[in-house]
Amino acid sequence: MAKREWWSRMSNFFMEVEGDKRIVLSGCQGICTYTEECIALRTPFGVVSLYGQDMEMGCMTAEGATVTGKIQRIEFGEEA
Amino acid sequence: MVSQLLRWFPGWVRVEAEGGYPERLLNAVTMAQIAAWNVRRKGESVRFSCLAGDYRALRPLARKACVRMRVRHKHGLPFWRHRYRRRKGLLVGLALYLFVLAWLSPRIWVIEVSGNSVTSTEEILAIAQQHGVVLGARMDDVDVKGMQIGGTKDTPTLSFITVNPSHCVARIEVTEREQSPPPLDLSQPSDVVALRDGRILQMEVYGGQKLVKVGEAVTAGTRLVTGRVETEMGEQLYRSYGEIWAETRRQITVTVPLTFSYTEPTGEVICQPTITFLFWKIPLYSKLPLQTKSRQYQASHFLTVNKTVLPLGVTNTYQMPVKTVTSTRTEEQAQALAQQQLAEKEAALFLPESFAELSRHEGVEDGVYILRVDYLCRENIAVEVPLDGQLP
Repeated sequence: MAKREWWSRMSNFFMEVEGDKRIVLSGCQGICTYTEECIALRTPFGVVSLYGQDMEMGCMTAEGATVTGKIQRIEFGEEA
Repeated sequence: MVSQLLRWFPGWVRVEAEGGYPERLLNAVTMAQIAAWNVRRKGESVRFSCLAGDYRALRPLARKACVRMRVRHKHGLPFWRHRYRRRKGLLVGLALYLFVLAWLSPRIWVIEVSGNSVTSTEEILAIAQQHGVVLGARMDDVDVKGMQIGGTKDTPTLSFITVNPSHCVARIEVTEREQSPPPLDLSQPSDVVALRDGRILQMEVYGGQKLVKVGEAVTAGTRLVTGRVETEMGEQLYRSYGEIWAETRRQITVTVPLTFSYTEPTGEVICQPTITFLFWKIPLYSKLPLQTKSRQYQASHFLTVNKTVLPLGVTNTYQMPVKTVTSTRTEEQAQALAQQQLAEKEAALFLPESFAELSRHEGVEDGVYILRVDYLCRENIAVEVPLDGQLP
């Protein structure tokens, strides 16, 4: 049952990178950090950290988020 | 653009959250199914936009996240409506505008006719009117198919007619039939007689039997060609036609009175403006008839957009009362005028270079200048009449 739920969550997660200007994430589970240079989002994989300048969340819902700005780095890591 | 419009109707606010844990607030916002957009960190504060109706639901979430919230900007219809709540006229004007827009948009404002050269525009408009193409009528009510099928039925000069609706412009396009010359009717026997006295110079007879020869003198009504032709099988009846060129004498008399009367404007001008909108004409003057004779002319001033004349404008009718004035002209003036009238008559009566002046008599008799000129002409004197008939 737990495995099925994990697979369901995994299959819902989606990340689309449009150059260095825009990233669309769906299936994220919350915000860990939000500063001008870094937005860290909790996902089924762990934490996805987006580093850059003028970072802005264009749209934020329970299903996903759109991050815009001058994106310089994407990091995947475990939640602290 | 669409999303902006969808947000504008319920209204939205720009919120600034300071202190505490803004991330917690944003997580709580998403968990509470509240849509937030344009989320931006600005130093210690986070700014985001949300629907005006959701702002009340944000307060407990902000308290839990230890965040102070305040509204920076308000946008959308509810705030706009609140701002102008005392200006009822604005709302009435907007409603009126929407009503007029909805009422006039589907209607015909302009009718354009193209493709006609022989058939008059008025005739085409009359046909179009039968099929619903009228200023102010609804474009949907135009019977395009019916016009295409039945529009040319009563107008032999047209081979095709249609109307192309283009927004508020009904473009009527026609194609005209190419007229071929009617076939010569040879079934009715006829004769050719002389129209006037003369001496025959040349004969070109295409039907019938000649009764005269070149060089013969004939009088008006003389039968020149007969349709009764004697053949081996007896008398046969044919249609007679052709050209009989003869030397004739003609006279033109022009009279110009030395004393004459004419009308001239008194100097007074009465302007009668009429406002035209679609098929409505609103006169801005009293319709009492004028006491004196007057000349009138019209000047129209209509709105135009991209060379398309809109049915909205003013037509000014200028009435200029006139008075009768008696005047005299000198003999020289009368002579010049007579000469001018003579030239006009010559152009109307004779073919170019087919006449020569024989004699000229001119003078004043009983206060009238008379110019009488005799001509020697070369003209076709053949006139077709029914068999054994006379000149009409």
